Amino acid sequence: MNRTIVAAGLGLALVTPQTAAAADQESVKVGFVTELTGPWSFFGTACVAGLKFAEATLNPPGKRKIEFIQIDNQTQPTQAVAAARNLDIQSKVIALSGPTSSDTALAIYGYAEQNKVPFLVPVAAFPQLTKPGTRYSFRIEPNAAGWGYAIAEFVAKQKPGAKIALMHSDFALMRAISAGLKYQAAKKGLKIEPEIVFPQGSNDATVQAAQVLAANPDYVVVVGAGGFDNTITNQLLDVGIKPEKIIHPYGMATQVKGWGKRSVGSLYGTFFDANLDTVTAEGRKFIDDFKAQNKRLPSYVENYCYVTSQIIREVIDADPKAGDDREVFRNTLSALKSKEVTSGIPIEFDKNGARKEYIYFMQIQDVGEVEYKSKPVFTTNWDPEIIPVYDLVK
Amino acid sequence: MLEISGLTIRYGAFLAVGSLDIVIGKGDIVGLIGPNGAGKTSTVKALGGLIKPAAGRIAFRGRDLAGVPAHERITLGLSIVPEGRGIFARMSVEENLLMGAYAFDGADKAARMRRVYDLFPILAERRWQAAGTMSGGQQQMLAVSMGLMAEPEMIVLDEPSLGLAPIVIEEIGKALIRLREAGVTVFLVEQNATLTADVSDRIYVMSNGTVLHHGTAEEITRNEDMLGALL
Amino acid sequence: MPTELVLISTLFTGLMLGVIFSLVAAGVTIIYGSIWMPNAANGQFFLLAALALWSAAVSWGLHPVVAALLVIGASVPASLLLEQMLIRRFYDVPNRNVSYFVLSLGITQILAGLFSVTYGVWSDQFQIPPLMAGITFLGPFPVSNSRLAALVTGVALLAALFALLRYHKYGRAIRAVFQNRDAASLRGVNVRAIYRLSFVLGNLVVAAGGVLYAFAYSFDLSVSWSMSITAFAIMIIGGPGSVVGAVAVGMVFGFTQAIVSAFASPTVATFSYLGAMLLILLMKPSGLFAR
Ligand SMILES: Nc1ncnc2c1ncn2[C@@H]1O[C@H](COP(=O)(O)OP(=O)(O)OP(=O)(O)O)[C@@H](O)[C@H]1O
Ligand SMILES: [Mg+2]
Repeated sequence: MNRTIVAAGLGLALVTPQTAAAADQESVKVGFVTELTGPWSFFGTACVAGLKFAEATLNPPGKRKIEFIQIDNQTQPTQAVAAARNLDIQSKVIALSGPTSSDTALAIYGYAEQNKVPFLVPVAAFPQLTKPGTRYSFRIEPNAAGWGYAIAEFVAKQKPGAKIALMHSDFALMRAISAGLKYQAAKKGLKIEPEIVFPQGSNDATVQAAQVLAANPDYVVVVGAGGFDNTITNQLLDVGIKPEKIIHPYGMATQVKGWGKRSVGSLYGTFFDANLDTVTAEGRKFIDDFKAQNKRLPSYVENYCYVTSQIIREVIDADPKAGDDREVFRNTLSALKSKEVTSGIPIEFDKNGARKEYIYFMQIQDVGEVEYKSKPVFTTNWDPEIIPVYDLVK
Repeated sequence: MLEISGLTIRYGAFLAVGSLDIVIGKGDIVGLIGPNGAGKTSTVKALGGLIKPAAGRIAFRGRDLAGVPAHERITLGLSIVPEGRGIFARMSVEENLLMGAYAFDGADKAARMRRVYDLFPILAERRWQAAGTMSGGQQQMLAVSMGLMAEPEMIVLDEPSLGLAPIVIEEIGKALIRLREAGVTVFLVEQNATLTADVSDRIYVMSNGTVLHHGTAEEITRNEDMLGALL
Repeated sequence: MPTELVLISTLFTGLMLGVIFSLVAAGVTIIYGSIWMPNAANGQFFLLAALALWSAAVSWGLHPVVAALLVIGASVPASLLLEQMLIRRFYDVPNRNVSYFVLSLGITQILAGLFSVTYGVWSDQFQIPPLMAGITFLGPFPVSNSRLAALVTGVALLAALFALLRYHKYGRAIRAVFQNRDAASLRGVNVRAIYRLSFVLGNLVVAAGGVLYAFAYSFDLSVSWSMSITAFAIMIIGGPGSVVGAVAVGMVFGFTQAIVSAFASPTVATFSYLGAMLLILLMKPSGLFAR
């Protein structure tokens, strides 16, 4: 009996200090599966560039270290799932994050929900990522059908009964935007005409631009994909559509630069923009540092990835157990009430992991090499389910 | 002019031509006749450098052709009109003739063309027609003319009579005799013994890859039994 | 006036796309016709030219015209190098078209991977500064002078290619090799040299297509795939090895895309290609202008 106590005491003496040290040192690992190569890599690398600035202040002394493990998904859903599985099983990450494309995000969504891994999507807008019943996935970006809804709201306010020409590529994201736009336009008494859908791999929109010109709409909503976005925009401007009539549902700094000086006067939607005066001091510093290093302004993609790291920090700080227990992490994240440090916009998730949604419509004032000027002309926010987004887009 | 000695050609293990000897003097018209599969075309291809002989020597105007690539042989004065005519079906007659003089940059091509049009006036009429749409006889005339556009020392013709009506064959024969008058050496490879006998000074008879007989045209035609059995 | 506008824009689009399709398909068919290489990597070569132009004009800041000439010029040593290192090793292989096809698939994979890791990051930004400013009105239809210049240059290049093949000694030799390589060799054509020339010329024409495309349109990395398939389809319908076929069918493709997408929809236009291709191949399996 004595021997047992001594042995147990020895065991304790040996074990306890080690365990304490381990709890102190062992960092919280977060898997960051994003698009570093492949067709969507301009989004993924922009995201990672934003994340990098957040990482600089992510781990102040005295707090448990958070470590992002970045993996390239090559813009391929299968690669994304493989990386997620690896991070889950091999690296034992507490949560997954990273994708900036709806396709890769949906792939990881399936894995995360099935295997109960918290999944924080920084930039992907397909509504089904937060469909009813979603438990482990959370999305920072508003859903795309909602953007369409907001465009209809904006146009209805500018010109009741207006006619909108809709030109979009045939990708899931663009279909979602269009569905929301068409739904709300009907309710608001707006006309969508013509609607032109371009198959993936399209290269020319000259004829369609002429058709749009001939239809003489009040606004043209343009959503191309990749290089085709610039092609459509250029061809619309070439045939003489006024930039003031052109609405891009979303615009990153690189896109604004691509549309160029000719686009001054045209409109784009966004969720974070260096030209907003609501940007906080930290947001301003982020913008300045980013600009100095990347020779361009950050936009919502970079901001959301910056904010992703902030959210994870807050979850770990709110409940120390969240760093070791996925259920606790998930519950803490679900209950989180915070604000984006860069913009002051509230962060709160509904029961499906969607945020209260919002958008800014900016009008381009000037486009330079490094910077561009734009001003907000309309902003709105709405409940994610103000329109039946999960039924509109399957 | 041409000296073939010990020419041996193999296709894999198959011996198509075995130790062939042929000598052709300047200004001669020499015939080579033999049945199907005798190895005539193989011999012509070896002359043109399109296949590499397994053994033997081909000397043209005293020069060993072994190291001379196919496309340089025409500039030595050796012009070959291959079996199946070797014309460019989708080019016009005139373009074909220009291809005939391809290797002769400095030459007066218009003058050379006039001379072949003299020989075969029908070609002048059809100069813009696509070669592939002409009749077999016209195509053969074009093939010979292409060979002549090189103004060669020696022209080799592989079965020019193939598939042609007797009257056309006769016309080709006449052209060959006019060539000899112009001092061109002619090597006529044929199955048509009559045509060959009509125009040739000497004839080689070939079968199974070797020369069976060799003599003047009269000597060979006299030996009708042998010819009949062969051809 | 609106119908006239749509009509003229349809014509212009048909021409613009047709010229680019024709150039690329002509390049592909020249290489196939001479060395029997069905170059599946043509779309990547096309994209390489466009990307190189972008780098030269945007990253290095060269004048677009200088950049264009540089890129098209650089395709020559690049082709020669590739020919020397890889392509010529197969010249004596009887069934080399299969070897070549597999080889070109490998090249496609390598280039696609390379582009993805190097240029992928900027893939929403590939836009070349305009060749010239201003707009020209074709009737009621305004066209930017830059695109008009690209169109005119493309037509001029096609005309030059035709003139070369028809009237120049070497062009005639290329056609002679297409039609009968042994006969060409007997007429004094150095067939291997013509192979090399064809490979260089074919790639040069493809590169010119890529350069003009980049002037006329913004692009991203995905253009390589659609162009590859389009060029192959055009070559097969036109009859492999037929430059006339490639240009004629290339024009038809351009106009099909323009007309069908104007009067039906862009989506239907992509299917109409495929439909037309299957139909023609059913009626004439060897292609329209087959030898
Ligand atoms: N590429 C080849 N591969 C294998 N065998 C060949 C090849 N070319 C020719 N042969 C064979 O070599 C032999 C000689 O053929 P060649 O064409 O030289 O005969 P030929 O005398 O010209 O006959 P013909 O009068 O029918 O034209 C034939 O048995 C033929 O089958
Ligand atoms: Mg024969």
